[in-house]
Parts: sequence; C-alpha cells; structure tokens
Amino acid sequence: MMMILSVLLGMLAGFLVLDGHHLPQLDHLLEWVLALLLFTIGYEVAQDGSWWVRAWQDRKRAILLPLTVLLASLAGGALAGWVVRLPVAQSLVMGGGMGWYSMSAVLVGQSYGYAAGALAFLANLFRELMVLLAAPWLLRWGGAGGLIGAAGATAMDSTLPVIVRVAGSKWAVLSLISGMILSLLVPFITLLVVSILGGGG
Amino acid sequence: MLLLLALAAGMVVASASRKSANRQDIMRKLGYGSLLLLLLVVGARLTADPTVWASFAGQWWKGLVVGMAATAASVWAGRLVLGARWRGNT
Repeated sequence: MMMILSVLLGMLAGFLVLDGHHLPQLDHLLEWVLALLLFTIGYEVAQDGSWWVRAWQDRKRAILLPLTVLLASLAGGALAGWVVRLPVAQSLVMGGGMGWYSMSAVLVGQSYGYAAGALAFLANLFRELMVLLAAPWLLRWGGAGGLIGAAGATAMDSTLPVIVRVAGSKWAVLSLISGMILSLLVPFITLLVVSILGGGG
Repeated sequence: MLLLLALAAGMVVASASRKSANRQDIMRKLGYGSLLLLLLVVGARLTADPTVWASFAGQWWKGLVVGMAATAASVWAGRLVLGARWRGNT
C-alpha cells in the first residue's frame, strides 16, 4: 500500500510542481537512490553466505526463465497486436521490449516511425508500472517466477527492489541474472524481427 | 556501472563484517525507505516528462493492451518455469 502511495504521490508532484526542466535532476536522483537500494540488496543477499551455491544450483532455470519469458512476451505482444489491428512486426517488437521502455521506444521508433515508438514506449512503461504497483498480486498469481518474468529486463535494476521486497531476498540473484540476459537480448531480438519482417510496416 | 558497483559493495560489506541483527535491521529499514523514495521519484519522473503526455495522445490504449498482454504472457511463462512457489527454496 505504501509503495502504491509513493508512486501516486510522486506522479502528483510531477504533475503539479515539476516539468521537463527538472528531468536531468530527477534522473540523477533516481540513479543515486537506485544505487543506495542496490547496496542494501547486495548486503541482504550476501548476509546469507550460501547465495552463490544457490545461484549455481539454479543455473539451468536462470537461463531457461528469461528465454521462456521472452518467447511468451513476443507471442503475447503479437496476439494482442493482432486483436487491436497493429502490424505483426510492430507488435512483436513492442512485446519484445521486456519493459525497457527507453530502448524499445528508440529502436521501434527508428524502424517504424515516431507513433510506433511512442506506442512501444507506452506498452513497456505500462509493464513496468504494473510490476511496481501490482507486485504482490503478480506474485500470488504467478509465483516468484511470474513476478520476475513480468519485470522482464527491469528485473536487474528498477523493479529488483520491489521483487526483493515482496518475494524475498532469496530471489535477488535469479532476478538479476534474468534481467541481465533479457537486457542483452532486447536490442538483438528487436533488430532481428525488423530485419526478418521488415521495417516501416 | 554505478549500480553494479553499489550491489557489489553491499555484498563485500556484508561478507567482510560480522553478522549483527541490529545492523541487518538498519539495512532493511534503509532499503525500504530508499525503495519508497525511488517509487516517489519514478512517479514524479513520469508525469514531469512532456514526451509521456505527448505519447498518450491518440492510440495509447493499444500500447496498454499490448503491454498488458506481454506482461500476462510473461507471468504465465515464469510460473511455467519456476512453478507457483513463492516462499520455497529456489
């Protein structure tokens, strides 16, 4: 509840008090607060001395999880795109953004134009917001794997603190690995889809 | 890079220092406090950015539908791989 209130309060402050001129300062602050958070997460993970043993034991699932999530996300995006009558290639790359809205918007925008880039931005922004606001429900529905999957590429940074908070620090390492693999795959998959199915469509 | 360094620094500090329930409690509170601050800044960042408002015009609902579908499919896939456990061992 406090987490939802924080986001809503921030949105209100951004709407009423702040504007585009404050973005560099907000980005700077965001990075440092995130660094502080990751410091505390690192501390919590390493308190449990056997974290690296668990990470090694989980190596197969740590690779299988992001790959399965990526395929499902592409399929989900394509299916939804078909329902709302978007070109298949465009909805595929929107779904394949994995929550990394800045990268996805740029890549999709370059290939399919500004409007498509804005849609990709929104699709992936909604994804991140859903994780930030509905993490406990996602956890209940899909387990820790479902929550980490929903977070996509952001599981290694912006949504990692929420995942650790609601699912427990034992999931931090898996979340980090999944987020890293997906972050590496997002540009590659986007460009692959564009090169196979073509841009400008 | 800063984020990875911060994470590694936290792990090094925890490994190098002796276990203390008091320090662990302080770290947990610090973590929760900074999480709330992070969410506050994320919210402010969203609504302060004029490009977000610009992209909301027109067919924003299609972005919402695709985003929700991709998220739901990802939750399902994650559940498929790890099962529905959420408190058990990894």
